[in-house]
Amino acid sequence: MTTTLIGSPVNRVDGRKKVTGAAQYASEFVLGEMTHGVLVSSSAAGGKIRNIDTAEAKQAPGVLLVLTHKNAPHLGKMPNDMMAGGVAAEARPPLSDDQILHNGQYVAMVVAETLEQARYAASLVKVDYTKGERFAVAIEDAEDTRYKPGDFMGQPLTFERGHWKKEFEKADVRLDATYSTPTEHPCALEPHATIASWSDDTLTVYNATQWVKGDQTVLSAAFDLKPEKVHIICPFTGGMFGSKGATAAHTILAAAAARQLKRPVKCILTRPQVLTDVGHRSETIQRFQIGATRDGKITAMRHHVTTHTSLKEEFPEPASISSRMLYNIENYATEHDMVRLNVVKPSWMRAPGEMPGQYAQESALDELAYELAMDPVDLRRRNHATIDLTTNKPFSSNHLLECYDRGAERFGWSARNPLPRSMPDGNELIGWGMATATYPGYLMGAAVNVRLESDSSGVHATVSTAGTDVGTGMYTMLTLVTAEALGLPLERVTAKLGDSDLLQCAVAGGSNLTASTAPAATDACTEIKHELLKLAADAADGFTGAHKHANEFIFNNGRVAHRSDPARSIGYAELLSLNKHPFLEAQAQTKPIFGHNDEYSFHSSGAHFVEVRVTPAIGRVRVSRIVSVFDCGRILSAKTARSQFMGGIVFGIGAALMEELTYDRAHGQPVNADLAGYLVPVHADIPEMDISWIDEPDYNFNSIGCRGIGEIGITGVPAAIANAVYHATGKRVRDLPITPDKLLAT
Amino acid sequence: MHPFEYVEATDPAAAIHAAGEGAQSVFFAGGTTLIDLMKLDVMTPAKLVDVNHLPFSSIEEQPDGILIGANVRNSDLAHHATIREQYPVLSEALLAGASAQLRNMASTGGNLLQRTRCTYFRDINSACNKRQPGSGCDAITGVNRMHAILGTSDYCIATHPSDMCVALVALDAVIHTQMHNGTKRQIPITEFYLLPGETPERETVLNRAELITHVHLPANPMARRSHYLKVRDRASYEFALASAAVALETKGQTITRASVALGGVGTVPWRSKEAEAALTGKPAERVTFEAAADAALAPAKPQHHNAFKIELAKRTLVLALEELMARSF
Ligand SMILES: Cc1cc2nc3c(=O)[nH]c(=O)nc-3n(C[C@H](O)[C@H](O)[C@H](O)COP(=O)(O)OP(=O)(O)OC[C@H]3O[C@@H](n4cnc5c(N)ncnc54)[C@H](O)[C@@H]3O)c2cc1C
Ligand code: SF4
Repeated sequence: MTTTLIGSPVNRVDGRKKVTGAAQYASEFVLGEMTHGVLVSSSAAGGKIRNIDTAEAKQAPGVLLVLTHKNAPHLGKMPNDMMAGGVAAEARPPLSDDQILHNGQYVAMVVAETLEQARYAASLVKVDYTKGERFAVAIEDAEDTRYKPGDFMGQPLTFERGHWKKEFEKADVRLDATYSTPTEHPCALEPHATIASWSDDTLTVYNATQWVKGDQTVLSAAFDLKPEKVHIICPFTGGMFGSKGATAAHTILAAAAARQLKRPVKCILTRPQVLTDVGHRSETIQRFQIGATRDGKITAMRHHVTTHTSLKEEFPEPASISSRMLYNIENYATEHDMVRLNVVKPSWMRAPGEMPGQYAQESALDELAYELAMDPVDLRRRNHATIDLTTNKPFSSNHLLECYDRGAERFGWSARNPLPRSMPDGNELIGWGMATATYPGYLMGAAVNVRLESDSSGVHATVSTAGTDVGTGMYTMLTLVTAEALGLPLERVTAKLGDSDLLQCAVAGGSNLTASTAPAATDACTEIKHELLKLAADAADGFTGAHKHANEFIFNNGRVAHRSDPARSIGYAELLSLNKHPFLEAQAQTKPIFGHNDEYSFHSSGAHFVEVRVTPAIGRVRVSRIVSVFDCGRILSAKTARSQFMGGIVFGIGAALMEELTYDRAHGQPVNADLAGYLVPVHADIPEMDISWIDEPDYNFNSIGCRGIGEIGITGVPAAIANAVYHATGKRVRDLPITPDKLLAT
Repeated sequence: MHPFEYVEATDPAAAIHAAGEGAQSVFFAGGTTLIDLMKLDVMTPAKLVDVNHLPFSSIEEQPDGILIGANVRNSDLAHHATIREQYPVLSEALLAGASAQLRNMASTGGNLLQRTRCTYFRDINSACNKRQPGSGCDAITGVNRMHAILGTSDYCIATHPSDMCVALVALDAVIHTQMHNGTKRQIPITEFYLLPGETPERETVLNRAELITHVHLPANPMARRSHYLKVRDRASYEFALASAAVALETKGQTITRASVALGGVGTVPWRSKEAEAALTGKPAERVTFEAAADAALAPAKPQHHNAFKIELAKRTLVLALEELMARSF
């Protein structure tokens, strides 16, 4: 088999659909008799609903239904756990009582003939609240609720190995520094949206989601239906970054209202609702205590983490997930504390844990490098780990050292004078910083169907699974992998995704979907090729016994040929015509791996090298250059892969310099809950990026050798920038984001 | 959003007449402020009078200056050759504002009357004297990092968010208006905005249904040597933490005339006569600029989260003057 497609930079197969508007997103489906639901959000951040007056709203033009806790239908108990196959965003069913847990919580849904009517009527719902005894929206206001959370994804968040304290106390060099990161929000471009519609006892839902099977599980539980009676459709998702993994209240309420009205209900969250009611990344406060020898060997590390969660539920942003394994530190301890705030339950956001954790750890390492007068890359090399000390298993494939080497080389790192403020340029100070990127290898499992058929237009294949393309390039990747495996041109393969009628597939999260689906697609293709050889063996001259010697044949451009004599070949169309059906179909699946198996620990890694230009007079920081090198196993689709890395790095620039969801501590509402107030990078903030990868397959992980790439890009970037800012200015900002006021103050 | 009536005005008199009927009528230009606030239920007009078809879309060069129609879009004004050459501070200020898409919609008249971005003003559940006189001011006790340090009162500390207006204040622009009986007024921009005082709901000297028709930029040789510098939390598409519009005239090393206005720090686009006095007659060098910055910010009053703006505004002004002096003319 000649490899031509895998690893090549093919264009997105759905690119044209996207730029011409032909790609349909959840809220764009047009159904007859559509109605529009608008949610009313609580202006109180705690307490109870004393009275809710819907009389005026009900009488407003076009209004069909007003749901509140007084008349909302009773819903079944919904699963709330990844492992249960679906996650309700919050365990408390929406509108189930008069309790207010956070500002913005939905207190009513108004459904009307048009969006404008629903929106106006929603403004007429009058709610009276009784104030709660206490409420808090900042960690420092909630110290009385401090507690230690349970395990996260089966792993303890507080543990010790070795004796960190003893080693720390006797260390030659000690560092004790505290870092903090603010509440952040994924802010996917497409707002969360649902269209729900019933016919008889079947529920069809067009949903902006990253997990159609998860939605199916949750909604079938909520409405007491068999899963096959719930059909979730989501051909395209306009970004999510974790925020569309759980089935949210608006989806459940749209389905409830549609059942009652016997008409489809469309509900799109407003941008403020997205920011207030869809789970964010918790703020973190992280204390690092590190002891080291003079020559840079880290002998002790303690990582203390404080994060927040909501009043009744738990989501611990697992910030120690990378400090516990990235470096070779035998005496290590981590502790995790949480407090309860009157906010929506925090949730997954791109690289949950690694993002804030790597900011703090990699900043601390930079500080340590200065203490030791050691090059920060050398310090990392000195503490490089070859086994994962949390599992005591070797890494299956680890090329981090090569990432450092190549990154340093491409960046020109050897020319760096470590002295802060050593690179002035006119009004500006230039600074160089670096940091390590890391992310586990997850594979959550998928079943993939491949069908090869022939009709008047020729031979073509369809690859399908229920997984979603959330903008990452799943369509392109599966098309490419299938075309490669079957020996067909790209345009002869179609991928079908985002439909719960298709085969079981995990959530598009944890950077796992390519690793889960690509090997399954390849395996299904192998089976089809075997069938093709069987057909050839039975029927075609010169192919006798072919299926017993599969290696002697090549599959190329829709034909099976002898490897020794490619001129002797036969077309798939001819072979399919010999089959009793005009098609061949096969299914294959992958089994879950959560970061490690019995033999290996699976991790991706990388290195970022960043240049910033700071105008010290006004505290302005601009990232002027980034070189990033990644080790993520084999890269299948070069162009969409590069976009994933790039998107992650852009996220990292946002986290470093501007992102922060700010709450009013007197009243509990976020004060910047829209895209003019919650800043994410714009084009002008983003420099050219030099992104490359090592491209060493990890066959211990799966048969195709690829690990995920969706999240690793963000990890380490904020630290590399903070470190570069220190190098430029001599100022260490230990609290993200690094804004002009902080640079002026320190 | 509340239901409303929509009227398209064909001539100025009809527009003024339509807007004069009923207390709840407003002019509608680019809509980038108005529709935004209507969606938030902050503005709930009963009638929109569309002024986009009125004949105020040209930029006319006259002997005594330039007459800009109220409907001229921010992007057209920013890229106009004469503006770029003779009033660079205005072009730079416009291009530092909002995004390309917004600038294509935003009108000159609308920009003058854009409302504050104060988060409590934009949230109908918060106490806000500007939105609802007498209800209080949640910003004073709340998150006020973006708020004003100059011209504030115990009733309101909201920042005037415009960039364009800061340049116009530095250029002594004059606002031309027309009223219901056909009377016309010419209002110097430095007298156009009202400090919040005890009535933050009153933002300008305009009467109800008074239509802005033009903005006049007086001929001003000094304006050729002018500059706008804006400091913000991201590189583009964000309001100012602090900004400075500066114009200088020098003779040898001595400053003979200066014009200084500040943005992002005042409850109105902030002209600093104090800074101008500190510059005039002095050598064009850093110590002079720093003295001017100290003078400009002397009356500043910080809130909980925005004390940094005092130092930042000073440095922004100094850097703006330095950058201007570094240019060749
Ligand atoms: C996300 C966002 C970011 C922004 N960023 C910036 C920024 O960085 N810098 C900046 O300077 N601005 C910024 N803006 C504000 C933008 O410049 C203003 O919204 C715009 O200039 C308003 O012009 P408009 O024509 O759209 O006004 P409209 O919204 O149509 O009207 C605004 C007000 O002016 C009144 N009005 C309009 N025309 C007339 C007239 N001829 N006579 C009398 N009254 C009239 C209307 O009744 C209304 O009250 C931003 C806006 C948004 C939404
Ligand atoms: S600062 Fe002004 S606009 Fe903001 S809440 Fe106070 S009164 Fe309202």
